[in-house]
Amino acid sequence: MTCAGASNQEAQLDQRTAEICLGEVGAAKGYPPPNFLILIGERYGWVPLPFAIACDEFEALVQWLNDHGQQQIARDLGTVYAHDANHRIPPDHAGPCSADAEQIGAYTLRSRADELPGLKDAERWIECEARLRHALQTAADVLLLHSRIGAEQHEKYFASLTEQEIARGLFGKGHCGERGSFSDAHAAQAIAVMREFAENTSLLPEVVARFVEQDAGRSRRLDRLKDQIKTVLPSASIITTKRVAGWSTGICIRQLRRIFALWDLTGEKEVIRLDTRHDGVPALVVSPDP
Amino acid sequence: MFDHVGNFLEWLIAPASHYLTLPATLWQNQSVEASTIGVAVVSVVMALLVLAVSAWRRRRANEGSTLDMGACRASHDGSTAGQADVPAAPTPLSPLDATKPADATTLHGVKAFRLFVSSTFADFGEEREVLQRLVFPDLDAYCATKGYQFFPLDLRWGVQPRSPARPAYS
Repeated sequence: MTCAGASNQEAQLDQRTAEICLGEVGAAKGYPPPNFLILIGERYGWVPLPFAIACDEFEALVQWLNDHGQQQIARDLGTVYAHDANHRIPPDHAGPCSADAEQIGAYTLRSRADELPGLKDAERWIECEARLRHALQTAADVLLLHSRIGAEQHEKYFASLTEQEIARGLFGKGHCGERGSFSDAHAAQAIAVMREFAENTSLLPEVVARFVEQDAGRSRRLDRLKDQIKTVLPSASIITTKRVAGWSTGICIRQLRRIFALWDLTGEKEVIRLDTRHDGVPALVVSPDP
Repeated sequence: MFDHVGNFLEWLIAPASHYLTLPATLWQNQSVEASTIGVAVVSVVMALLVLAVSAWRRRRANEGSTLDMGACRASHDGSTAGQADVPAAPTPLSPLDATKPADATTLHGVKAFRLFVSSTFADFGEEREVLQRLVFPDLDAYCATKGYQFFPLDLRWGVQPRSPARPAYS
């Protein structure tokens, strides 16, 4: 399945966008570096509903919502998700993921294309998704507090697709939700462009609305994510750009051009060339023009 | 011989009605040489046309890549004001083009680069457009000179601007 054009729209209606994007991150890792480019600013990004939720976990969430006066949301969850005996996932996401681990059934998001015609409309889905996300997050917080779900299971209701992609791209986190570990091999294949607003800049309201995270919780997650990127990537692989409100994206564009630099905008002669690293892997590297 | 050339020149500048009858006339006169010369000249004309068109396309591409910083500067206040003078979005580099055998996992011997672009949606449109319009085509051309293919993968390009996959809060 692909994510392009009409097929992409199909993927969205089939609720497969996140799965496909994460699959592509993994696929790109089989190619020479650089194979993963991160662009991150002041937004945390879209938090998709988990595609699959283990049966017992889903039922516990619905139960909690029913017990706390949110019957309508519980009913909506039962409409949007359907029990899928064929979708098997490990019972405890935090545990080791082995081939012979006992797998249990799950509830999965139903296709909006043919199973939920009432939610085919984009606007209606966005509204519905936001309500369900909020309810699932609230219930998941409580279940975590009572130790009925683990941190890893809880995480999937809060992680943006961007964070999930970065987790896959930098830490090699897999499908099974295992705690991926950072490796130099992953980092050497990634480039990050981190865009920040210059300090002491008074931002126009429309700029703030479009470019800066407003929610405190999402903001904290964003800061944590950026710290992780700074920690694991070698400094040469990070380009930090300052965006001055009301002026230009030119800074960022110049920096982008520079890292892939076939342009000589800064006066420094830099070129991109095909090189072979010490381990014999061919790579695109930026280096001074000889 | 000169007669044949004369015939041919006449054929070239003849009114449209003659175009239909002259070849038959030449054939009847067994003007093989004229036919041969005709084919050769038409081939040359076609080749020149192809060259001219490709040169023109190259020139247009170069004009595109010399987008200056002033033009970039125009587009920033969060509105779309500055985007009016930017041509319509190019055809997305389709991941379909990037179909590689699933077993292309060995780094050695794989003559392709594949770059996954991960970004939030609403706030990186300009940067991603620059990548697609200016940066990636050059990288592609560079890699081609080295015998490599270059497959940038920005899945957001396949997503409609107001699509639910990347709603306003993304």
